[in-house]
Amino acid sequence: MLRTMSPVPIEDEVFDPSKEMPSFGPEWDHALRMGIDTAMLLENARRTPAERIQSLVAHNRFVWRVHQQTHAAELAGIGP
Amino acid sequence: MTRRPAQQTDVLLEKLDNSRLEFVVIGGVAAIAHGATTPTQDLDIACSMTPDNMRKIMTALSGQHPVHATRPDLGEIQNTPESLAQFRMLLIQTDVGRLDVLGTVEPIGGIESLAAVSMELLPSRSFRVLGLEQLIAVKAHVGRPKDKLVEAELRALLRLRLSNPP
Repeated sequence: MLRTMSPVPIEDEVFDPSKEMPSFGPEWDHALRMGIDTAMLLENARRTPAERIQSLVAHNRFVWRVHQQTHAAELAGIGP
Repeated sequence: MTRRPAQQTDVLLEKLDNSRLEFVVIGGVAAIAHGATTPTQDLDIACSMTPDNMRKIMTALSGQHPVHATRPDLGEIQNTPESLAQFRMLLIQTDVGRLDVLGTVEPIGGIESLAAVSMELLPSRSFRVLGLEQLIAVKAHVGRPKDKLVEAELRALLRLRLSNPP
């Protein structure tokens, strides 16, 4: 929403994540203020350790593939 | 093609488990196991730096072209287990990813000082993983920006666990 069109004072529009997300205490709020995606933390908490490791492996494989493609493109002179 | 291979943490864990090495998973993978979201590109473990353990590690990595990560120009690791046992830590690059082996975990100490918990990191395979409280202490001690982020994640997860006991 454009601020000029907003009926509420600008100060009230400032996003305060601790007011938007569930809190589990000061450490949780601190993580929120640091920019940590606590929704992902909550999602992870529902997973098993094996699922978390599987997710890490999949992430690393994806990153590796992207690096490979970027490197190949650079070698071919079509990359950045 | 880039020279560094994909990090296959699951394969490394399986190979180490097969070798019967007694070790504790520490570092970023331990943080992930506890629920942190920050990805990591290596596997850190702690174990006693004995010749027998070094033999087990090198047997586990045989066929994966292990090299010293800081001196890949030296080629495949040729050190004897006795020689490797003299290292304070081993930083090993293999065809299935990076493995860092530490004899001491600062600021806690050797493997006998570590409070590890058992976690099923691979299907039907349990591993000893550094406990959440000690892992937080390690991350706080290291103190690099990325460690501070993981430390904050772990503190939040500890708080969440205390709020929702199993």
